Amino acid sequence: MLLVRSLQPYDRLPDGEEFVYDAFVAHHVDNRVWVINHLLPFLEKQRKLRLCLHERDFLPGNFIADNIVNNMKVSRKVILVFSEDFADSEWCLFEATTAYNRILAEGASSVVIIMLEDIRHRPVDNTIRNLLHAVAYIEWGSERSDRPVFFRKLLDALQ
Amino acid sequence: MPDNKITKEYGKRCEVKHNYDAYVSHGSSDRDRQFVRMLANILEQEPFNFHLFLPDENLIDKDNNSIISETIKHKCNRLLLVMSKDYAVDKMSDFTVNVALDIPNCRRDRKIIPVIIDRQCGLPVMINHLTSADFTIPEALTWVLPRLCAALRAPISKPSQIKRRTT
Repeated sequence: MLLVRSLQPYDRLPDGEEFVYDAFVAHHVDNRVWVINHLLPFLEKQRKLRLCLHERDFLPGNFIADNIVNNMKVSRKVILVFSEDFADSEWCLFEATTAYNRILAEGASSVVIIMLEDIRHRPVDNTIRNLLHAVAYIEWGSERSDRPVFFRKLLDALQ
Repeated sequence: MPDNKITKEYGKRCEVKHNYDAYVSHGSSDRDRQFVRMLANILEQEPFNFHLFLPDENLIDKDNNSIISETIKHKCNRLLLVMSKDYAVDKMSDFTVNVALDIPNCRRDRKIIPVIIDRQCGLPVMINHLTSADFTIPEALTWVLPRLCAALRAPISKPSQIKRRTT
């Protein structure tokens, strides 16, 4: 029984729904390099988690909105990478809104916020403001010495 | 009483087999043609073995919009729109997209697959809400081909059966 469970690539929810990804990563295209160079190596290569990335896992030809909603639905957690560009982008706001609906349905632990750039003190949409109040964010520090703490907090949040 | 001639004719057209996986709509510049040639060389060989309709090679009369329209609607499963800065201002790109948008179940079957080969060239307004296969992102180049193939291979719904009324 345990062996069969370990072979499955996804977790099974009590009501029968299946997750394809451990986390859906919502980010602005200008932060793509950061996601690929920092998040991917740690979470996928080191920790063997499976992430959903627009550039890799969205099917071309599908509506962008459908890709976002459907892939978020089959992800165990949602990671929002907040930055100045994220706060200004319509599509990122759509992702944030979809993630906020997750919080209403499943609780604040289903969403993880990475503060790549500090947007707490600038005008932001209400949804982003509400997310900042509802979810404890993890700050990406500029010093290399901050990295181990960052990754430890991130991993804890994704358990 | 149903008109058997019309329903038979329509039934025949619905049974026309799609011979091609995709109609490749692209610009006429050398650069666009080179990219399409390179892409076709990869997609039409092992292990992908797609069957692509390339207007340069398969169309005798390139100015006959009726034939282009007929081909896209009845001979090809999908439209692969290869977008460049030059093609973005070419009326043919809009025309082929409009033809594809007219196909039943266009959205459900993901009939239009945008492929981008120039940074920030933009898509026609009618399809700028679609996810595209972007060949301009260096960090994502290893992923774009498998994604494109998955999109080309996605199932197509069958033409609806013609219901014959009985009296």
